[in-house]
Amino acid sequence: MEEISKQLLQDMTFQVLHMERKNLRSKAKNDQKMSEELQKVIVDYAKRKCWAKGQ
Amino acid sequence: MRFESIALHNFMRYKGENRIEFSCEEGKNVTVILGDNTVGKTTVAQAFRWCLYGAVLTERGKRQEDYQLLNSDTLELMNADSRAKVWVELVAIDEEKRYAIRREIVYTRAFPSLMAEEFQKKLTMHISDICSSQPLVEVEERKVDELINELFPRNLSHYFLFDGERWSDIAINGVRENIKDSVHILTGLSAYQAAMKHLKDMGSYSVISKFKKKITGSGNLYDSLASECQKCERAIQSCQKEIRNIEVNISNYKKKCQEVQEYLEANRNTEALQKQYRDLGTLKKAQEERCASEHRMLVNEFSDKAYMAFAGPMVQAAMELVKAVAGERRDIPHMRQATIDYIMKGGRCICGAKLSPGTKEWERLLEQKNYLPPADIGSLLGEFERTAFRWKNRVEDFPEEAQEMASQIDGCVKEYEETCNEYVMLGQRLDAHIDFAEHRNRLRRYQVGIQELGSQKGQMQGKAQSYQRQKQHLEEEMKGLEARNEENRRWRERLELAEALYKKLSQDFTMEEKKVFKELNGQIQNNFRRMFNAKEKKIELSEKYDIQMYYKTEVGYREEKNLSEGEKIARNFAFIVTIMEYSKKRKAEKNAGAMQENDTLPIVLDSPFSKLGDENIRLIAKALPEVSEQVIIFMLKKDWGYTGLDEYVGKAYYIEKEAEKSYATIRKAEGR
Repeated sequence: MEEISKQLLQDMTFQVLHMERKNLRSKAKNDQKMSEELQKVIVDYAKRKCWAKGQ
Repeated sequence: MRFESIALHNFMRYKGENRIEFSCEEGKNVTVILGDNTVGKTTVAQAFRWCLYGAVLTERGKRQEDYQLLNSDTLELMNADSRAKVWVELVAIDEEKRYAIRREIVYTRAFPSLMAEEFQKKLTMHISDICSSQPLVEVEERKVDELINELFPRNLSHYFLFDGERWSDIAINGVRENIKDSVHILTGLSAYQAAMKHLKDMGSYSVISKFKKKITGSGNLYDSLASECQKCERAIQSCQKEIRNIEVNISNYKKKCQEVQEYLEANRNTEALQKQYRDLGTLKKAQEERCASEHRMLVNEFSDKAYMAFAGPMVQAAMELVKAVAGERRDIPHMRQATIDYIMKGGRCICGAKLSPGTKEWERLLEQKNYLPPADIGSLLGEFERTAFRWKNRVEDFPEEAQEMASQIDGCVKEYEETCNEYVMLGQRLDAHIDFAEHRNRLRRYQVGIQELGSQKGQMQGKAQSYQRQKQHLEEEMKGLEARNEENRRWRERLELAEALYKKLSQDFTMEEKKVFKELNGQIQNNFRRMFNAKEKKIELSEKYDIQMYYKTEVGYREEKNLSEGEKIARNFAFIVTIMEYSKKRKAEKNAGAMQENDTLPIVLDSPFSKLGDENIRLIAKALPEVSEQVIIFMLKKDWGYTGLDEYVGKAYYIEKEAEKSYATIRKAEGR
């Protein structure tokens, strides 16, 4: 398996933390819903196929 | 985060609705509320706490129930059927949203007594976007408390809702502050924890677990491994559930321990008083016995001597009379005429001579007989004189002695009465039913419980780890047997991405946590030095975020636990200023592209400087508007001058109370 792009991981971390932060401050979604949201984000990032060696 | 306004309705001293709008203006971020002593400054400060956490800050020895929230004037006007509402509404804003929090209690009156009874309670929260015209969103009722804690961490409330006079070192409402979690919320680290939970730490609903289930394989062996793997997963979840239960129980025990410890601490004086009460009881009994004994002695003495003393003047007069009328007389002690007759009848004198009429001895006895009673009273008078003399001698000091004994009894009675009064007063101060031994036993039981649960937790964690290893091993085996298709490859990629994300978040969290701790620890020392000119002392955060103070000694620094009130306030100010300064700095970094978003807090100060000197007041006051996004300060009009904060004031209010009215009103200062 190829290494995951650092930039992609960084962007994904940023987005996930933002979503979590937003939810912490609104309590709009429960844990299960948040897990589903994160699954969507990861599937979306995986589609970008930004895999590159040692970036 | 800033407070936009607070509205109080029939809350404690405030009748009807009173509203304060706070300054959110940059550069003029201070709102000051001035008032004289006892007009109701603290009530407004209490309203913040009540609205956010449903509790007021209690004074030592008082409970929440001891505080009547409904305005007493309003209560007086109620009858048996009427109802009255108490509510406080706080509006707060951050960069994006406006949060309106409203806590309300409907009261009835236990007519005719002046007692309010809770009828209905409600806590609501609405969120709206500041920039868009979207309608208000109401937060689910069961999540409001959780959200309030996210916005205004309760464990930090002691610091950002600062009460300079009612400050207690121990706990807020019996719960010791877990500052670490609150600092995580404020510095944005709680988002890492939430993300890790959703990615992996919440079991079968987690992202990683869901992705794993999507990957398929074929063959009996794969199915069997998958089934084993599921069993392991279920066992791990069961262990984790058990661990969570144990943790809840440990947390409950700890909470109970803290409650008992706080109770014992708060009643430490009572315990001493109880000992004093018991000692006084013993003293009282001893004094009572002494009074009775002294009284008995006086009565005996009086019975013995009083008649002699009272007869004194009469005896004296009789003696003078005898002397005047009796002339010369013979006083032959203890002899009577009958005595002579008896000797003569016997025929022999006591000297041995034979007695017969006509003899010299006979004649001599007859002569002597004439000087004896009843023919002559000389001997009787002699006896009278001797008795009188004896009486006189015996009662010579009687009046003084009796007086002395009586005053001694008076003294004893006085001491006894004083002890009795003290005993009664102490009895009133004490709740005789308080059993400290029972509390100490409970504390020991809880501590033993915590130890046992800790050991159970360790065992359960070991079990979970063992299942985890087994599961990893099975997963490795399954990986070799996965169906080689496109679908599986995609899910495998997603899974690896999720696992990489989890790993990164976990590493970043550990790193950030250390960084935050290190930076806060450096900064708190600087602030302590800056605000208190502290040269011989320093403060440090422990890993659990306890704030420790150290004194400089010849061989280095020594931790000091017995701090004065002033030192505690200095320490707390240094901490909250540091937290605020740090969160403000982080916020600026976030705007510059840092990873996690963090928050800032406003600071609400009630009589903050009452225990500090003028120089410290000036140094601290100067730091506050710079480090905090917003400062709301309640203080005495006369003390305001020392702060030097005039240039930062955006809004000012006065709290006033007319002498004839029992309630206060809030008035906006002109020109502000």
